[in-house]
Amino acid sequence: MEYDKEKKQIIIKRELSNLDRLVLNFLNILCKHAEYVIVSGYVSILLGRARATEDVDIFIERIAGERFFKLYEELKSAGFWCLNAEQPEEVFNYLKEGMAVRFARQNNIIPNFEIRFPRKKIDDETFKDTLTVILPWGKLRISSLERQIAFKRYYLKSNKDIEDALHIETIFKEQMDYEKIKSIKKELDAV
Amino acid sequence: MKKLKPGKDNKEERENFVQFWAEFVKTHSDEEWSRQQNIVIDSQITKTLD
Repeated sequence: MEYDKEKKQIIIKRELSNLDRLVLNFLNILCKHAEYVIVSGYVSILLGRARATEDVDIFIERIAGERFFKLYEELKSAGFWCLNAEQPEEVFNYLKEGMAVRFARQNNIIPNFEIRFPRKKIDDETFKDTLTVILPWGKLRISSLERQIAFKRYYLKSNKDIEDALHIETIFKEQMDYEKIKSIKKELDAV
Repeated sequence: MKKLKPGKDNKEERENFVQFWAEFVKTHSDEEWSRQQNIVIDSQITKTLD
């Protein structure tokens, strides 16, 4: 795994898991319609954490209904379904109200993609603080390592999240910006 | 690579293992750690889903 802090990129020459392939398929559609950032559990898994997950958490930029309906249609044509509602207008309303909606492969519930619009200032900031992960068969955009650690250790705080943060920190400790983690923690304390 | 230190309780045991595995990831090729990791991940998700 090669982390280039200046270029804000990580190159991973990993064997892709079936989950990675599913994620890349979903993102190939999503990225045509909206800016996105992957946050939380799948990021740790992508970086080597040995655990499974039920969902992949993704922020997408606030887009208008028209653009969302195109995204919805393409996801549906590609064999995904929305767990929350059948009508795209209803799904979009959930997003507009600040709620998350989930998409999975037809006839499946897990794993699924939990997508939401940013709600708070700290969510918006996630889009300005990202890394590109380059895999053998595609690229994806994740939130920064420091942001991952701060959220998991000081905001989410479950055992699983604390272990995810420990995993990322152990791998990248020489390159970690601990002042940045402290500063994000302060923002999280104020939320 | 250092040996895995047993924990005094479940939490410490888990954390020691997480660090042990992360050290393995850090010091071995991506192909090597991902091959092992995929046994855990792919037990949950079949290829037909991708």
